[in-house]
Amino acid sequence: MDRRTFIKVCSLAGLSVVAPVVRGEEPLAGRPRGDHAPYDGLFFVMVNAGGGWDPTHLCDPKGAGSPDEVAPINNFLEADIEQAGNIRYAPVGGNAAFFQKHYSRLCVINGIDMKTNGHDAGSRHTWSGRLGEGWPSMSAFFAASFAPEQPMAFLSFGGFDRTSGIVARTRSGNVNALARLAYPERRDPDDPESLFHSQFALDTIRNAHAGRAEALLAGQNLPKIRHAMSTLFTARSGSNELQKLQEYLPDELDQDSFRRQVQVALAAYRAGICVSCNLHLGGFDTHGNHDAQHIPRLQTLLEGLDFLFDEAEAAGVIDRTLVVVGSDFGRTPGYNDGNGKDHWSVTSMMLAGPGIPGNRVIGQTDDGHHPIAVDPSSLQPSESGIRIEPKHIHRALRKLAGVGDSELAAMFPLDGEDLPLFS
Amino acid sequence: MRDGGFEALDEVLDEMMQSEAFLARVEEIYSDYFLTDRYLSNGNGTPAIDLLDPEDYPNAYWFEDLPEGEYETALRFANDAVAREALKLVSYVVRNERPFSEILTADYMVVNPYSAKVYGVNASFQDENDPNEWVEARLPGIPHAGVLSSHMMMNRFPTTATNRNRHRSRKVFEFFLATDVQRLGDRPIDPTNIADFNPTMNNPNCTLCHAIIDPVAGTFQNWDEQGRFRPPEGGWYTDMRPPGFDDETLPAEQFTAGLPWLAGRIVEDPRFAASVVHIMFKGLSGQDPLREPTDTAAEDYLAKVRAFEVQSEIFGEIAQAFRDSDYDLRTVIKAIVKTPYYRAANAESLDEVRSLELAEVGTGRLLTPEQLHRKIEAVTGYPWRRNADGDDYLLDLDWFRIFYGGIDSDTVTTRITEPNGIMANVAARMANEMSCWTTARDFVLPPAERRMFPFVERSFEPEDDNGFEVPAAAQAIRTNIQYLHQRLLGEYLDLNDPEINRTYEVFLSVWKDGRKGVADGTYDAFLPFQCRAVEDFWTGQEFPDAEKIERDDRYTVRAWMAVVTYLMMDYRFLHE
Repeated sequence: MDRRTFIKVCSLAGLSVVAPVVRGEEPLAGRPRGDHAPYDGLFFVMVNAGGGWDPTHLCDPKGAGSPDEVAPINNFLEADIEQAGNIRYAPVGGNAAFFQKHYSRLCVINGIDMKTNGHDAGSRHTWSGRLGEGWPSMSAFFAASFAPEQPMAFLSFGGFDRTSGIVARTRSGNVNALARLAYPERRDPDDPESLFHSQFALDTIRNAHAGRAEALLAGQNLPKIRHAMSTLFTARSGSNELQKLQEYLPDELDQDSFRRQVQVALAAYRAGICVSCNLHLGGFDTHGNHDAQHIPRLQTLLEGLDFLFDEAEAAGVIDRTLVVVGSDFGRTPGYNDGNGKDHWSVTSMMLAGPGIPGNRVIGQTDDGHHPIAVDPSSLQPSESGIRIEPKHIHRALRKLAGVGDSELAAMFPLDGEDLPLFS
Repeated sequence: MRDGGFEALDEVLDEMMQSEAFLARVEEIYSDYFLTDRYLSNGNGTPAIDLLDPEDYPNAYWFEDLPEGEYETALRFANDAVAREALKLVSYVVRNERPFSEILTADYMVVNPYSAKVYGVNASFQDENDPNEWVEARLPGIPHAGVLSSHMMMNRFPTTATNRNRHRSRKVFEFFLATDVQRLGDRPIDPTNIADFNPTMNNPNCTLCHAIIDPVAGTFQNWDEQGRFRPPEGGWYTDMRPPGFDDETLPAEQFTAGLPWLAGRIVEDPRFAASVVHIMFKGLSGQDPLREPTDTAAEDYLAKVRAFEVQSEIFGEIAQAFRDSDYDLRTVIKAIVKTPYYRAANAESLDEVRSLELAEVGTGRLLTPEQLHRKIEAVTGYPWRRNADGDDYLLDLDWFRIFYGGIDSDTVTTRITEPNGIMANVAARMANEMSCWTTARDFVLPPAERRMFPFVERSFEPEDDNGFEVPAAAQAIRTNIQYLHQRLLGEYLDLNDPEINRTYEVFLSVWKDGRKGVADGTYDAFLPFQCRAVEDFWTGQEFPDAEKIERDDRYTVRAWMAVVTYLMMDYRFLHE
């Protein structure tokens, strides 16, 4: 029994078997939901620089006034800061190669007020749009909005990946073991004839499971247990599409772990089984020896993003790939006693993809990397304006994706102004 | 126990809590917090022994000159004993029925024969080759403070010159005082207001958390970035709050023994008992304890408050009983198991408000890879492993441990608790492989020794050649199905229960189709090669020809395989 039939049978029986729902609540009527057709809508790629990156070494550059400056904000000079199109960048690491190549697709948002310098809260704020707990990550939100039934609807390699129960989250392990999972009914994954059971037996088992699922759910009233049952039955009913992933995975995966994340995520999307993913690169929490550690890490990140754009282009999906790059928070303007930089509650984000205007910089910070308020209409600096916060970016992205007024958005509202970030 | 009530439950729990499996589970629960398995031989991180300073431990690699074969074994036993030292202290305390507070106050560490040589400590063992024998030991000059002073804990939660042990302090609050310090900082910080000299001392944006964590950070002052005992030559920092705990300052004469001093304060704090209750609850139920709802404008605020208050009260009572029992961990587990959060199986029809209030009641927990691994072996007699020396599919990082929601204690540190498509496929492959590998093998054994088929023989067919039921055989098959429901799913059903009928139908229809298929040549009379019973799983010793099961002319083995697959993929097999 395929998923559609399964849902139909259960619906006829008055049961609520859908993609995972918020515990204790009925499923959302009218939630955008696909079926067995491969997902081919927008591909949402969230890239997390774990530990708190330093935007002043990246897309919100701040340099020293002179080589002799005492306690400079950074060790490079203001005069050496470079520019690609409208985007200024710090003259370090791999910045020039990246920004010169990709500035036309990039939208940089600087001066984002994170209101925290704690890792957990910062990561949560960036990726859920809310400082407090309880809201799903952006990836989970979009996966749940468009095709929660897909077997890898939300693929996470780390970072903030809470789902609030609205979609199942998948973590990738050793992809070489996936073949055995793609064909669990075969003794030899490569041999379609090598079934453990006859086809008749497989169908019999499947039908018996559906009947038992129906009976178990009908007899269960505790919301927590109902939720657990629904989640398993839904996960099981969509699981065969995993085979499609096999077709799109490259024969040899890259040795670099971030590039490997890109390859698996793109394969999953191209297979039509993935809506969103969290890509993750850690190592940015450089409390000591900042420049020597942080700049190479940023370079690895940018090279990974370059790889992502190139691979998406080669696969013909770049026009459907929406990329959001962010971190927990920023780093202090200036160095501590160990030449490191500590936590700082101001950061930047970079975005690219369909509907995102490239070669654009929104928001500013002052010389001490404090956020400057912007006019909510013009986005120009304004003393009476507002500070840009993650919620504004989330609201704009929801709107861009066409789910700003959905029931899911109503369940997880983000109060705030609608800024014309991508107009 | 089903008819004996709580008293019988206590007896069963008491017996269960004496088992090695229980101690392993306790270690597993704390492992999700300590994350020191990162340093195991087969982990993703630096091996534990490599983290020890060779100047402090010149004999760390004592096994290097052992012959090939012995060397690898000694390396693994020694390394993993060092890596798991903190976790082994936890289970040592429980095994020996010491007050659980000793996980912090112990003035010793635990070693096995292999790690004793690594550390160069004197310890006597009953069996010098037994890696599972753990005894107390003391490192000369080191003020032990249970897991707080563990090398691996210090490495797993490191510090830097500017962090000044604050990270370690935060973890102390999180693990042992049920306090998430970072939540205190969830209120907005305004960066434009931070221009002070030394903001962690002076700026209200920062002092809220730092006033709490900095004193505890100071009690770690004698341990450096690598977890080595190196009291600071110039004393502790004067530009941060002095070492201490709560309102009490660490006396100067105790500076070298800051951690034992801290441990004594923590275990006297009521939050220590609460932390144990919370950790055990999470470990047993898979759910975080409820947090106090803060959104007063939310429609469901009152229902959530009621749910939170009820749970807080119950947990408070358990914590009090834990203290009254002189920190007997078994008291906590027994109490949690008796709460509705763990035991409730169903409820009368619920309205919306009542659903919210009971949102966390009952256990719908997907088994972790480790739990499922143990359950598979417990019910079938065999692990999910291709052969005796093979990899455990659910435990190995290169196989399905991460896919099935597990952690590697390195980059993946939180578990997935709700199944996704891939996890469903892991379960499907497990069920198919285990039914294939174990069904015929179980029939090789005498009925009394069988794990799955004690009531039937392969020759038992439910109908004769004319399609008439064979009552005795059909009854035996039903009885065995009833037994499998109990053994695999924990269901105690009458023989005429609809679920027994459903499973019987699986057997009957697959058998009928198969018997016909074998007769007309559609299906092979032989079992698939991998599903034949030809040798002992553990020894690889071939069975005598007469005992081998290779053919399945009447299709009963494959019909039972279908039943086993059906049951092992069931919700109740995969959930607690």
